[in-house]
Amino acid sequence: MTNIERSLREQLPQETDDILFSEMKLSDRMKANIRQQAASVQMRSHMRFRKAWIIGMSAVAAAAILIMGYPMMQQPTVPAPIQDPAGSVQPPIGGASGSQLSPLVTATLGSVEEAKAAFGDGLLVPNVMPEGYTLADIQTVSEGDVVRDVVITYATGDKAITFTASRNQAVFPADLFTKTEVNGFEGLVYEQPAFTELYWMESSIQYSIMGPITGEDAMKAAESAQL
Amino acid sequence: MKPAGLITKESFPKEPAQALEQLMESYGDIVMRTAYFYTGDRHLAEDISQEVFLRAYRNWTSFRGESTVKTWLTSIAINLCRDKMGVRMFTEQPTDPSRMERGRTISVEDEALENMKKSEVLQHVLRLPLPYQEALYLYYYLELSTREIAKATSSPEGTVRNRLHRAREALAREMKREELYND
Repeated sequence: MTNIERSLREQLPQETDDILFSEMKLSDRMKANIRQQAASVQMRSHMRFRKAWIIGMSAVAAAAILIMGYPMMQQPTVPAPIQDPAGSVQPPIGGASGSQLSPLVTATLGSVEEAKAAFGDGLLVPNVMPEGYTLADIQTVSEGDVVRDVVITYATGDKAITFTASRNQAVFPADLFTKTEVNGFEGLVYEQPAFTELYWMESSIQYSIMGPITGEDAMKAAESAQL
Repeated sequence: MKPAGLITKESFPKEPAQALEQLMESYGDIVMRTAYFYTGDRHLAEDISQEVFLRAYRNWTSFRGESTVKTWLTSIAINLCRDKMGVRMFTEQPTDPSRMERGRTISVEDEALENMKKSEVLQHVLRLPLPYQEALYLYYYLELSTREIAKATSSPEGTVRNRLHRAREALAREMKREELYND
């Protein structure tokens, strides 16, 4: 090994560490920043995935309706209108009249009390949220005259926890979720390092809490839910 | 400089958030130092380091592990540094003044400056043209192989070998001149 080679292998790294990089470290503050930004990246991607999943399921449902409905349109099973000798047309026996569509209507409410009144008896709402989170938004989704979902958002800075109550039961990918209990009721939790989803069913209402919080915090919030 | 046992992707968790923790733990300082070496600006180095780990986090699943994790992260860091500096700092024409004047200048405190003057190798290395500094830093400090350097800098391996050879020669000349001057 030449002198230059020895100097480069032995002295250069030592001198570089001692002189140039003596205080050059990825600090805990920077690591925390990176974690926070990574969590928001994950949350955005999670929301995109959910949106894509909903759109995908809607497309599948629409396709199923078309496939099943097409033969029915081609070969109507509804009896033809009966024409009486006088020439007037009667509706078929048992035939429905009017549209069967019932569009979902979203409304923003001003208080938890309003949400409870709109949803009807039995809506539970959490009394405890992780420190810093405050009530930011309340929305209802109605199907006809019935409020089907209540969605309450609690926020701090750019972070948000979403609490939902729905009359529709959710379906879960079994490999991601773990069974748990909320106040003795069966639930499912998917706890990731920076995002937790907790679902449970109580009195035929599907509840959920989702946000950039720990599983423990999600459980505390869930167990604080009261009438 | 090589973190033991965490060389390839298989040594890290598959889940990106968990992998991120280990990446920051194992390579945080290396990335920060590399960014500082290229930019010469502590604040810029901090910004770049954060961006390096966020990119690594976003691309962890698609990273196929065809290189070591250190080479992969170094490659991300170098590309970001070059983007931030606005010029291809480390080209084959290092003595072109129009390229050199926009290169980085490492700023050191007075005390460090005194220590720098006492250093036997570092002060001479930092006087070399930037491409030579880069080759020496990546090879001797980060302990990357010439193949890994070629991958990280998107250069042919022959070019890397050539630069290293010329860098050693230039350094030897510089150090000899200093010796003669002192005598």
